[in-house]
Amino acid sequence: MPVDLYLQPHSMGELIHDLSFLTTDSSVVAGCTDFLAQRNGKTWHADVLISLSEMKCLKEIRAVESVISVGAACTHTQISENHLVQTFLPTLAQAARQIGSKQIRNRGTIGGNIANASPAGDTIVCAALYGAEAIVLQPSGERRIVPAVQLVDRTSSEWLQYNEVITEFRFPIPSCDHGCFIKLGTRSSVTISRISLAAYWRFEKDCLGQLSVWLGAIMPTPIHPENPGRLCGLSLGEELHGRFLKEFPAFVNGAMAERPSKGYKVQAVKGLADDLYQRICREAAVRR
Amino acid sequence: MNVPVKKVKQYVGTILFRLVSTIYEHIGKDAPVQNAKSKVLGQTQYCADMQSYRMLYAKLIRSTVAHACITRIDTSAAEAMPGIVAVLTSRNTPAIHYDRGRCMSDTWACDQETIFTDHVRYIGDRIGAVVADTPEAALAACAAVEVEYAPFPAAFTVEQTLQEHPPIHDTHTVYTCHPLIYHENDNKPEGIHISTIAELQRTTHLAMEPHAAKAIYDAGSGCLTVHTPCQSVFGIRSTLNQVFGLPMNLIRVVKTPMGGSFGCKQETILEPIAAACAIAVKGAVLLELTREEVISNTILRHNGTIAVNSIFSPSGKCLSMNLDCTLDAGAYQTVSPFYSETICQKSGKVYAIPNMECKAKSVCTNTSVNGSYRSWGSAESATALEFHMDSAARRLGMDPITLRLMNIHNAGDLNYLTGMPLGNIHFHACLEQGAAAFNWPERRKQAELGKTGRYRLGVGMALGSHTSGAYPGRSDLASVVLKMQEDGSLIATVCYHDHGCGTGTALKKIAAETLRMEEERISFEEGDTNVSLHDYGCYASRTIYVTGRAVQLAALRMMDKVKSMAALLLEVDSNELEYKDGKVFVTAAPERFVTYGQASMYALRHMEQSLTVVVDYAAHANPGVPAAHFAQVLVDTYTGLVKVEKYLAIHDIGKAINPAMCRAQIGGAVQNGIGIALYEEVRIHPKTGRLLTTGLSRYNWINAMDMPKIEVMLIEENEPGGPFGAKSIGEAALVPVVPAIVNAVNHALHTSLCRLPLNPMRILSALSED
Amino acid sequence: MMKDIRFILNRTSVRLTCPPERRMLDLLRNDLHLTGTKEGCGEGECGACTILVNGEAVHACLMMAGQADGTEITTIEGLMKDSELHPLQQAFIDHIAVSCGFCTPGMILASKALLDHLPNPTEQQVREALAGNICRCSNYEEIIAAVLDAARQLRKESKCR
Repeated sequence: MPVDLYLQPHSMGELIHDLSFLTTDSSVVAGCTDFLAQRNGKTWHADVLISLSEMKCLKEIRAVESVISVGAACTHTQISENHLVQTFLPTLAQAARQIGSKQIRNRGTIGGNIANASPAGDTIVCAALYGAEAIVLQPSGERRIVPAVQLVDRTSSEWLQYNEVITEFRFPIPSCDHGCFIKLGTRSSVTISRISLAAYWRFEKDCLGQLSVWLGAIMPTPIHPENPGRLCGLSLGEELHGRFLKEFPAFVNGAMAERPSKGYKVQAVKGLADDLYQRICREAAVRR
Repeated sequence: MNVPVKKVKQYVGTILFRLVSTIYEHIGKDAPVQNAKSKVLGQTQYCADMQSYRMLYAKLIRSTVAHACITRIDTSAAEAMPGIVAVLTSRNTPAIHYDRGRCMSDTWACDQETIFTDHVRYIGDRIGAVVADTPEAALAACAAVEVEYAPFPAAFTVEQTLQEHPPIHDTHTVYTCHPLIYHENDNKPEGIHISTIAELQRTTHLAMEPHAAKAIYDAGSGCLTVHTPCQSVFGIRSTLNQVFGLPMNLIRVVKTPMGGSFGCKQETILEPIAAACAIAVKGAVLLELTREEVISNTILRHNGTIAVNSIFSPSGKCLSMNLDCTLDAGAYQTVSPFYSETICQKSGKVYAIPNMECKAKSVCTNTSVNGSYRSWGSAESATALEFHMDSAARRLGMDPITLRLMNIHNAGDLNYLTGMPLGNIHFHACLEQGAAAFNWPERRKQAELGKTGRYRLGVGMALGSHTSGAYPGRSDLASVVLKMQEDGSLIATVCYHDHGCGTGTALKKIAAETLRMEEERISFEEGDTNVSLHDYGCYASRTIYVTGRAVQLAALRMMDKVKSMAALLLEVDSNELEYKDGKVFVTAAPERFVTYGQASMYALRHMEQSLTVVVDYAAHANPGVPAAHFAQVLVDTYTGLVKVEKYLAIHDIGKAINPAMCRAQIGGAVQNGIGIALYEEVRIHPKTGRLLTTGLSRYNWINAMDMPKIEVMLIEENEPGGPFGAKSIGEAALVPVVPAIVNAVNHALHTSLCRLPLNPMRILSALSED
Repeated sequence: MMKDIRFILNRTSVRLTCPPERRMLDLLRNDLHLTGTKEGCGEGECGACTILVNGEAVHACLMMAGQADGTEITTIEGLMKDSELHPLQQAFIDHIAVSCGFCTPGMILASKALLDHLPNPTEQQVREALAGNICRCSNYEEIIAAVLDAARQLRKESKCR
């Protein structure tokens, strides 16, 4: 039998109780989209398996003061269709909408996307952009709060322990109301990101005021230009456009480790930079 | 149309034929595949759905090293596991060498495979199988088999094999084909030299149904039955006969509904394994592959290179051409020698080139086996030739269509390389009507205007052709049994193998049209060695042109029988009779009629005979099936992504029996070809031989979002010898797709790329070299 | 371990005991003999095993049987009502959107989920909803036409009611 003990808690209390059974040979699953795909055609074993599928309280999206709280077991479909997310975290809504196929979005969860720590995980780029925090539940019932990006960083001391579970992500509502998520795969949909880009920005009069950009699938964790300021303060036009097209490849060239795909990604990020610039222009036009 | 007068005369008969065609009731009318309703209900039983009481499950034990001799194999731990019924290896199964590509016992093949091997030749090679109560138990036991290997040097590329000569096989590690040479005269042509190389990648067929076979061994009667989605029940039976030594009357192979083949189910792969398992356990065993096993352990499309060197006159006439093809066969030669040979033969089907030399070889490497793929070389040949033609056009400063018009074959021409007539072919019509419908000149011009900025437009086209049968490679025999039932309904036994494209519907239409009765009252049974007459299999796109013709002839003979019964019943001479709607009536007095059922009953009751017809028909022609495909692409020069914006496929099809399925097949082929041109690649690590494409999550294809709309035009000029003038479509449809896309991309970028697939990485790296 | 699982399958309530980590696909095909749900890849890439769970399209190969507890599940076998084909099934036949048929059950169920949520989809929305379902036999055109036609049919039916 692949699994010795299967637990499907219904409440936080049950979940805390169940966490104490976990060992390094255990797993926690939610949508199972990564978990079962990775075990396809293989013989596998887990001493304890906790399924979060019945944890209704982990499937809520709420606004709490200046934070949007997204339950870890929220599906990508739920996130992309949620009004709060669409309004305050448009980048996340767009990212969730572009993950996998409809079938995957219906089952796959934000918690799984981040806990599985795939460099191509699209929601982590958004978590980085918004500076989201993850709430991690421990078997003691205590919760620790971690910057979400650290959960995908294998070198981080904040790495998810075998007996912990992510329950919630807290996304601070940014002061910028414009944002977008752009991904480059090998086809236009149902594709794994070769590069992903999450951004938000603010206009100041006719200029691009503040701009925050994060890139995914370049390095194990999302990266961002330290100084996007070179792109800010300029009015939309040829010069700014030119800077977008130059700065992004230069940034990736500097930030990315030597890998076979580096040559391609350094060039191809220009396409995302161009898309981003065009999006900014489109929104500027709408604003006018 | 630009066809010489004397050749038109030759086809006057077909024009008369067309006048008659206006009154067809079944032919040329759209209809769904024969079993569409059970398919939408989920009731069609594919092989892996055929569960039965006490059925056992088999899983393969596969090599973890690329090239080695097995020195020790210990199955005891596996055998002791719960639910395990048998563990099979080379030590307890027949060691007969056979060839998965053989479809008749007397044909030569390399014979390099055994059911299980102790000389493993690639990572994944079959060492054995576990039979268990459940698939999970079988899988777990496979992992418990202990194997020790003594490694041999391995080669993962053709170059490595040719240079390092690893001991892959005793003979035929490299197979060199007889070159095909044609010279019109002894003159040495002079002109402009053009050289190109097309580099083809491994791909998987991506048939939706993974391979499966179910074998049942009845120890009492000694009967072995194998259910399999295959393309040749008799071919498989001959191999089972060879391997197990059972007489053919005790081996029954039954074709199951097939969830797509595209070539991947045309070879004998799982059947001997499933049979060995069933014999070992004296019961029923299902062997179903995972997608990873389908990629690793069945067939991939050949990777290889095709170099073309030619000499053109400045005006655009191709004076000579040399083609040199090298295919990677994978770990076993199987069909590769013939596959490389046929690439040469098929290279003479489109262009009339007065001097041509084609040579080919297939080379074994320690990688998964490459083999049959839709079009069996026609598409590979077209990729090389059509890319070459575009390169020549660019070099000569000519329009690609103008250049092609100067070099194509006409109706009645011979394939110079084989000496075979090409039939009633219409390349001119394909090019001219296609170019007009696609607005070729305007589109090309428009694309050439905008050569700056991020997105570049490209417009390209390609020609292709294929076979309609196997003649003269083998005797192209089709045998049909028609049985009129007592109620006038008809059961036809034809050894056909529907891949899922509705062959049954097409054959039904041919019978219904000939017998002038309802399609619903006709059943067509698929290949079953205990029921059907011998047939060598569904290869070479022969089903409609050859089997369909046999059905038509059988139906005509059946009609003679029915009429003779009706004549007796109605007491008139049979030439005073006509027939329609399942009735035979007196021409002069239509109210006097007998139904086919009445005729059938009369035959049984009073004439002491059944209305049964058996027809053997062998085709003695093999017409070409010209096609021209036109594509417009938009290349993103920042990301290297290519979008196919517009696509037109025009096919000289003779006559479309079921136009809807012809369109569907063309649509599927274009999808398949765009995939090969731009996305698809099965990757194997060049240093370790490890399969990197272990599932569909690591494979790219074009999906519903990116797939463009396709415009289809059919030229119906009637092929004499085909049923109602029909010839083939299923494979022909794939042939021009890859080069049409490649040519369009190169037109967009002013490049000369033909290393497939043209994926974003390759496109950007080519652009950065400029 | 075994787990008691109850769910509604094709409008009938089911109660069974099985290993909870068993793939829903294996439960349906091997235990309940509902073989209309197909396995094409086992990793959620091909869509052939699409079923409806609480009305949403889901891969049966990526769902554990234990997770089916308390849900309502529809497979292709449950689409026909009163021996009448569902409009999607009829449209797939009429538009000649079926070739080898292996993708058909998944394709029809993914389409049903779409039309249940979005009765009047655009062509682009249909393409998007079916982007995770591979059909290797066609170029999707007939399938898309069938879905759009079934949508019209269903809208007509719901108006009549």
